Amino acid sequence: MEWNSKSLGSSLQHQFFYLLVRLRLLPLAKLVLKAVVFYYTLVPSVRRRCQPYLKRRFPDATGLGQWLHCYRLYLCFAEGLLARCVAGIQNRPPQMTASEVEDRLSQILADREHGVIVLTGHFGGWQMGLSFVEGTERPVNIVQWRSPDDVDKHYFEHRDQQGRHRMHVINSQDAANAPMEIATALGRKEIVCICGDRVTDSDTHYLEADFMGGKIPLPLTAFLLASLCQVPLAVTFSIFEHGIMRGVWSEEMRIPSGLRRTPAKFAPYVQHFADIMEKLVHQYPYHFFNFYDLWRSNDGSRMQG
Amino acid sequence: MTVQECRDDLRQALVESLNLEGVEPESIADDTPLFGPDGLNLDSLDAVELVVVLEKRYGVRMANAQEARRHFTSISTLADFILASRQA
Repeated sequence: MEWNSKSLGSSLQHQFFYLLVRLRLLPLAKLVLKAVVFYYTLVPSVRRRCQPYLKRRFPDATGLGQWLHCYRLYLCFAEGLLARCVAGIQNRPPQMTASEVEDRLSQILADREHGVIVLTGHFGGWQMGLSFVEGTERPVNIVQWRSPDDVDKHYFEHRDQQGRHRMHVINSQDAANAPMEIATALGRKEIVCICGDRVTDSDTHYLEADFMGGKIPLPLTAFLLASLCQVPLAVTFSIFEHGIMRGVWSEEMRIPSGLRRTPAKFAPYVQHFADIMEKLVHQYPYHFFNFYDLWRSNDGSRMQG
Repeated sequence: MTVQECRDDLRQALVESLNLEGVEPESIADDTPLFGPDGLNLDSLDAVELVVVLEKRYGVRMANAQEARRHFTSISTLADFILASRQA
């Protein structure tokens, strides 16, 4: 089961929720959301998408227990989507607690001539979580891979239509130009956010790391660019729980320069990132949104470090 | 720094910094394309390294990717950019 960015729901279904949010019928939207999630978790192919993860996270669960974990995971994901829709359409972001993330980022950026790479993963609605970094008042770039089938809008795209501040999206599918865009943005002392837990077709460099009892491929992009441009990696995540978006600061990683030609030397840093994510998965089991088999052995079509 | 000095220094910097094995600096003509199979065939990560080299070695910074693409054509265009930036 490979990852793709195609939305589960149809465009019409998304439009329906956008309409409810525009009409300020949020309680109704939440109710419908639960019913929709319930329906989808009855569909075997939808349940299969999260089984590789849930079987590792809850190895003893069977039958109803397994379904319940699946329901809670999808509900958490859906609630995050709804929250970002509200944040974007009504310009009403959820309550946020991210002072540590903002403080740490501001400290990192204070005396630097260059920007910083925020390295995160698919936890709790990561794009909306990145609104934390907007608090630093530096321009923010998001490196993102999107397919035409991905119909749900990100919160900053909703805001776009209303002419407010936007985040700049760097299209990672444009493998020839994306690294240059990232490097020049860092040169302008901007923030570049990279979700580093998924290898996409545009990632030509990756390394395998131990994660939840198996090996998963992790892209080297963030680590390579941090090494080349000599900027720190600020490892942060966002968790959306009980209507509150919480910024989780992990640490600042420094990658030595000169590693590009020996990618295996990135292994300790990549593994450390995987270890951080594993700790988070144990802490927040229903907030890890990778609905495909991360552990599936790779097909060897990409260059390994 | 004259134009010729800048071009010669760039040739040296390219070979050293980008680890261009088997390429002698003097074999890179002023108009040899930096990217593409007809030239040095540099890749996107080489371009990033080049951005860093320009800043560290010459103290010039690329404003954005479009500007970089325009100037990262050959030794000649790169040298012109460096000299113009330093005069500005």
